[in-house]
Amino acid sequence: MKSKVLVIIRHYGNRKRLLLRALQSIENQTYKNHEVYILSMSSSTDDNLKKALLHPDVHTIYSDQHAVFFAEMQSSSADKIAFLDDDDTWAPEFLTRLISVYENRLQCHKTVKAICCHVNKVNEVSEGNRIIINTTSPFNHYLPTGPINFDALYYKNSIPISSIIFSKHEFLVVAKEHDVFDPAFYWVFLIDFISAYDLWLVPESMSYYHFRDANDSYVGNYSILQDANNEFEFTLNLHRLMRRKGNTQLLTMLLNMLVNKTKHHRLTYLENKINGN
Amino acid sequence: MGTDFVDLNSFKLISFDIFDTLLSRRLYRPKDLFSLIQSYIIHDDSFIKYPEILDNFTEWRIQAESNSRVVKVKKTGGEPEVTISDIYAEFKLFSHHIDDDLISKLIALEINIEKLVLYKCHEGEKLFKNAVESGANVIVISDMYFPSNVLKELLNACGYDVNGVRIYSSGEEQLSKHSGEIYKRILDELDIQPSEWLHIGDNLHADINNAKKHKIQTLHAQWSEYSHERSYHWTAKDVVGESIYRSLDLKQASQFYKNDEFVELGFKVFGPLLLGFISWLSMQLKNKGIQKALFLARDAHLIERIYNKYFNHTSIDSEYIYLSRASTYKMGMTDWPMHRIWHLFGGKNKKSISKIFSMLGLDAKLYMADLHHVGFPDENHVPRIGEEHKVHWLINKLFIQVMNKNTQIRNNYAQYFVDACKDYEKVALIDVGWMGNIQSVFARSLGEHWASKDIYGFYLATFEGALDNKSYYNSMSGWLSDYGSPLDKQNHLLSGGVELMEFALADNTGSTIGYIKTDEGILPLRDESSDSEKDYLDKAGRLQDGIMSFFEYVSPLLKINVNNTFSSVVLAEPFFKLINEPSSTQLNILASLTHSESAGTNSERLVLADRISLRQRLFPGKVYQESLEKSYWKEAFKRLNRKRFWKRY
Repeated sequence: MKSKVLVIIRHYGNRKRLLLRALQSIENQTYKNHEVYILSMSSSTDDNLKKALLHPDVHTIYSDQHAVFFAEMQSSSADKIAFLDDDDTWAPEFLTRLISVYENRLQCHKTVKAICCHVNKVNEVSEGNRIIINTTSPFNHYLPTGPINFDALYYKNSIPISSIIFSKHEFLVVAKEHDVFDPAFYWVFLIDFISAYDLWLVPESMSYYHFRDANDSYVGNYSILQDANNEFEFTLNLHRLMRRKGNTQLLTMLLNMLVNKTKHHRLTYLENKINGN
Repeated sequence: MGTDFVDLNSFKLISFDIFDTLLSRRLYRPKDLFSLIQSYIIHDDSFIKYPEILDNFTEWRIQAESNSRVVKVKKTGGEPEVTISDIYAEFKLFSHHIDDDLISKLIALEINIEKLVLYKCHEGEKLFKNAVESGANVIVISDMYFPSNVLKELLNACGYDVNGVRIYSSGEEQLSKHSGEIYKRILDELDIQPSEWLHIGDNLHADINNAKKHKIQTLHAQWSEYSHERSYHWTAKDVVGESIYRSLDLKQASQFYKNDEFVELGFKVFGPLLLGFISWLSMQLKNKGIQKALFLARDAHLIERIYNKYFNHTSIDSEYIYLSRASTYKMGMTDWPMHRIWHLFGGKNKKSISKIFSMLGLDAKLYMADLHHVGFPDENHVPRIGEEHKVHWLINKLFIQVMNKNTQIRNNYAQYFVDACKDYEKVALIDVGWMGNIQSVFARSLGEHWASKDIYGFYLATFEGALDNKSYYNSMSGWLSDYGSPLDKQNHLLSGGVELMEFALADNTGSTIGYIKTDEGILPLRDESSDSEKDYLDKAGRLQDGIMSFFEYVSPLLKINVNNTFSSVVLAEPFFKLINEPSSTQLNILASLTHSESAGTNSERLVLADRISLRQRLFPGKVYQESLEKSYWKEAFKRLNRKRFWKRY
């Protein structure tokens, strides 16, 4: 296989142990042709990350270095790009099997520019720098093999970012319209990406989506802790996409989503009325 | 033989065991020390290079000790006696990442934490002092893996003067009391007759029976105990939490509190509860970057005292501020969400229309037409069950007047709250909690200053009803129950826990009934305590003495300075047991306490659980059901009024 993969770890604040686990997960990959970048959501003045890092070969880009990020991505010789959130992990064969399918089986589908796999949800308890894994269970195993339908994206996390490998060129074409450093960027970005290209699913659970206790205010899941802020960002970003001209498929899809959401709220309201709540 | 009858002057040699004779641990099980060490290392980033140790320290440490004893016997024969270095040499074999520096660091850490865990037993200390004064040769013998110099350090750290006292460690000597061989060695070494030697220790086999086999005189130390059980909790903090609260029932812990039922209750039940809550609180204040912590009168006065004495290592600016439902509801209504209005006049105590109006700052006499419109005869009418909707309707009719009155009161007195927040951006309100009403009105009373601040609320618990006050602009967190989750904990609190908690934290400074403008600024106006409240406050004061004794007991552990270690909700288990399975003593002292739950109604107090007539208990009907409904502490009511009246409750 000839692909080189840029692996981007999105890292938030205090989660040093989680970050080290993610780095270990990359080190354990059987596919070795990759380059690792940490996209730190803290500023470059925070040197805690540097202290925690035991991997000198890993590059770090901080949240105040947007231009550096895109320049480095462009100039890299890699042709694929994969994201791994710092609390998630991959099976050792994740890169090998997905890249193998991408290179050998998908060349006939010219619009397919990304590949993903099924995801398992992992429940764990975090106590300081200690991690106790509890259970794993299927997360999106209802998605069938083949191109992902547009309506699968109605649910925000149906395809977690840590389960996809993108073609770098197409990723950057779409990503330049988005703020990659915004923790809430991913869902709206994926809607935009699928309006232009296709994403193919391989039904093997090789990506693991880790969840800590919902009330863990320190290293709990970012999307749960920042739920309200994320919702605002999602809405603002969706509105931004809708204002964009030229992509009627995207506009139709987004309007449908909006109508569905309003319908949902009205039905819930009526249901509450009927039940006397 | 009892310690009071021992004539120490008749012996030439007096030896002491150490653990559970001279010293005891602040933990229920000796092995819980390893969970405490694990709790430390998982919060210290310098150990992050060793993830396997972070995840497995306790189990590995226990296993390493066991392995080292097997290895010792295999290699050199003799007794399975080892030293701490032998144990950590085995520990090192668990992972190739472990180097000698790390091993030295772990041994030093174990010794340091052991020092904080240990304290001297009064009985042991008294005997040790008398033994030294008797002129006999005093020695110490311990079946322990620490070498004698470390044992000496531990004794010194607990306040024993052991200069010149020979210390025998089984690990060093390779002989133990458990086999009895060490007694023979000492008899030979010191050239003494067994009849001239008294040994004092807690272990029946090693200290008593084996010493007797060598004709040595013995004294069984029965003042200290521990458990060999194992904990099945997953996290280190839960193991430590359980170990701390269960250690309070060990007989040696009684030396830390006065013999008084309320004091004991404070020490064993409310002390651990507050340790968990205030540790969690400290962690939240730190993690959220809080600049100013406001402790709300009156329930948070003890919380503030404990926080500032034992936890405020970061010197967050803190202040005790005077407010109450009666004083804040009149000025914090800047909008009119109807679901929230309901909270203002709910409760078990029935109040007249006039009283309800006064809470809103209005004079009911001026609104007689509105009273008549909804069907109330006059302002003295006390709404009956089923008339709640009329009260709601009436208040809703008057929303313009209520909000205008609020604005007027806010203009006069809200500066008190603004001043408390100073120029800080991140401000926390701290209280026992429940519905979040006070935070809701506090934030609204800040006027134009509000939007420039992040107001957080940290509470012992918040209930499902607090969802009415939940807002993007009003962040609230509860420790035991957060917006009613988990449901079982909320339900326990609602079955008497709230009133017991408010009793435990009651303060005698008088509740805040309003504010007054003076030359020195705006000051709170406080109510006088009623006679019934005086008795209540006296009992609460005794209970609080017990809570403070608990914090003195546990304070050395707090020096470990990892708040998260002590924030386990497991520390609340004695409190939930009190609510759901009170003992006869607890029922006797608590059920007759009175409680006032509604804003500004200290004079209208109801008992937590009342006794009904024997006839009503034997044939429970409407009276039984109504009394049960009315009682605050449900389990206590059921126990006090059960049919088997001849049995003790």
